[in-house]
Amino acid sequence: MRNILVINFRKNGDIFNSLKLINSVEINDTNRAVSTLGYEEFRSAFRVLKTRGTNYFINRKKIETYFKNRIYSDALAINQFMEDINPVLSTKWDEVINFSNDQTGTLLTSIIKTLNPSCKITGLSLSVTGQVVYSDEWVRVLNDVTTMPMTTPINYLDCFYNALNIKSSSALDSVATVPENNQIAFKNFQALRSSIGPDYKALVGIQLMSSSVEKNIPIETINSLIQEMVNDTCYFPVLLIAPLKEEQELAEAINRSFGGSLTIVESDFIAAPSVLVNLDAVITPDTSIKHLCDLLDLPIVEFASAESPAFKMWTTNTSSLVVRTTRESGNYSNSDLTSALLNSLAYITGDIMAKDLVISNAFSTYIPIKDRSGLHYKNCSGIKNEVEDCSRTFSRYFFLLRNAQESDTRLLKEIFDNVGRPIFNKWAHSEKEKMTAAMRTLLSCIRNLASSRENPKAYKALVESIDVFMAVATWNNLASIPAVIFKSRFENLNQASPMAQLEEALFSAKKDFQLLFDSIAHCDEYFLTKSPSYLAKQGSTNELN
Amino acid sequence: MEIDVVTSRSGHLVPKVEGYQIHSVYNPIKEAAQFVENHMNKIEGHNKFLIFGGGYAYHINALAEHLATQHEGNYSIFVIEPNNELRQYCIDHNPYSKNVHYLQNTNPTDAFTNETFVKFLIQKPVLLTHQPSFNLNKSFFESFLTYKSSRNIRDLMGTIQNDDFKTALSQYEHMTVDELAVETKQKNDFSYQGLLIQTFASIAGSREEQL
Repeated sequence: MRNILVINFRKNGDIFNSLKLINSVEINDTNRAVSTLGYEEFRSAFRVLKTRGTNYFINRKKIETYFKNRIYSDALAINQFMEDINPVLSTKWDEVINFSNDQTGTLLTSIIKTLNPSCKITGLSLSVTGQVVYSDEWVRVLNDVTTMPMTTPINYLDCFYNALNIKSSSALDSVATVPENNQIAFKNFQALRSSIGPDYKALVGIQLMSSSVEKNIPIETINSLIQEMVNDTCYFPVLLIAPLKEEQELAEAINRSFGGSLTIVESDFIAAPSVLVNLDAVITPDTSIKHLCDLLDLPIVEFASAESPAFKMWTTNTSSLVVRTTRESGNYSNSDLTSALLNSLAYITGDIMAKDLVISNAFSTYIPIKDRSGLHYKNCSGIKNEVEDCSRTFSRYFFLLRNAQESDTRLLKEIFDNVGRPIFNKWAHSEKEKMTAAMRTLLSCIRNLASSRENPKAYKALVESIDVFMAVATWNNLASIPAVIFKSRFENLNQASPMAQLEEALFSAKKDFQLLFDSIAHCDEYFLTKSPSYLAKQGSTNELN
Repeated sequence: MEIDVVTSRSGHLVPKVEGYQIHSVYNPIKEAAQFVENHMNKIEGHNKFLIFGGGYAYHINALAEHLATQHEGNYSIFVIEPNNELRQYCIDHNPYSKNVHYLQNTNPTDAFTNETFVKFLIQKPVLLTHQPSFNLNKSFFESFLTYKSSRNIRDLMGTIQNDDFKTALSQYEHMTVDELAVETKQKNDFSYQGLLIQTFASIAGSREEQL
């Protein structure tokens, strides 16, 4: 049995998200046992997945309390820390997946690597001289590119699947539930379905709150949604809350305004799966419940507010839909959002087709699509942001070509179909201009590097030109991609041979620019094959043949 | 300290320390019930208590009796009584010994490294003061309330249990853990022990934010 440790020091939503990866790692090879390491305060989230390994926890809050309170000796904090990590350090790991890639995760991964140099690492670790080591180029995309504001070319989990060379699989059968909870929930929901009668097509969970007010579905909208559902008697609303005072009070207040007629279900993470499997769909903001629904393959309508990072951690279920609003799309009315959510619900429950999904221009909807290169999101209705779509799909094409040597022409077709040639041409022209300007600054670095070898006085010019090129990383366009990757390499130059590594990083950036130009050329060539004159020419050639 | 024991009018024993009576010489049981009543706003809804002053434990037994009715067996009380003789009396006459504990350490440094006591403290117990005992040992209790642990690594070494961490710290006894974490990073010490220190610092967080 290969012992694999997944380190995840993030919060509930990210833990649920990592469970899909953990399950895929185990399912792809029955000889693997995956253990996890996380913070004690998120223990209940880790308990949601059945794995062959063990869940280890660090009691961060206790360590912090001992360390930060003047009455306690630091020795107590150190003792607690060692007590928590000793079981992890004394196990011989064949592989460590640093899922969170945060500072603590990276340091711990490095300790395990130091204790066992033959242990395979996926994710970030530190070299003996303290440089950040990326286990492969997908990990670089994960850490440096997906954190750029402009786009998420490759889904977070797909970066791991690619880095580990495994296929994603459903985690549905691996979700841990308590049989007693399952029986109670099933019985209660059966009774509910019988009592509401056959007119209702679906039981729809409505998640009332998320971790931040800005991400929530506004209360007026929740009230309107419920009112519409009650009037229409098509979808039966079920209010979903956690056992928290704030949520209980909100649910009670909503219930009072409906004369106490609503169904409220309160559950913690252990009981939530037993509840959710009895629902037909869920309407939710960006919450950990959203990720739990994904684990259970339960379709959702996700409300992505302007505060939620777009594309990065959206639902991964291809039967779900994302309703997105942005700061640029301006204010929206309560009725606009209610209508958008209800229409989207009708789509995911199969009551309307995608073409009939009409929503206000304050929103856009996205469908998650999975193909052989992973998950991405297709604009489905509402306001279109062609430039963003173009940039997102194109950079996906670029990274698949760069990291997997795969020229995915379906993505070029997607740009052609969704964006069209005129807009693409305009976008490509503007991007090429910026890339050319950025390339000039890069070439200046390369020239200065060569000069500095012969003349140490040229170092100053080299440093200045590197500063100028690294500023490109903040441009938030295609030219930023090579600059961001260069920056991460530059910041981790090994002291042993910095100039040789600098040269390598600069030439690698140059290669990335070249590949970006080539990728635009691929688009041009593809579009050419779709042009009427080309098609006419092809037709006449065929006739001649 | 000289302790005389007198019998109250109600027939209960009352210690007098240096002539200072710690409980009522009329009816210490009634006084203890009053103690609970007077602190009811602090007691209600809680099940963990730290009490300054044990005396002959009348007030402690009254509180334990009340908590037993509210929380059944699920409550705990820690008592700090600096006088050895009084403390021993309390220990010998403790009908609630499963839930009521007397701290044996009378030195704050020892008390705040006593594992059982510290585990109790981080559950944030309610502090109740038995005023006559407090007045009698004011400077002792104030030293508990204002205690600050030493941050010098040399003072931690005796309490640290893990040998690897002890080794990591052994050359830096003149520093604090915070200073060492910074130095380890600055010196690019990414050895096993250097990484251990940095990982600990990363989890424990910055103390400056709290100050």
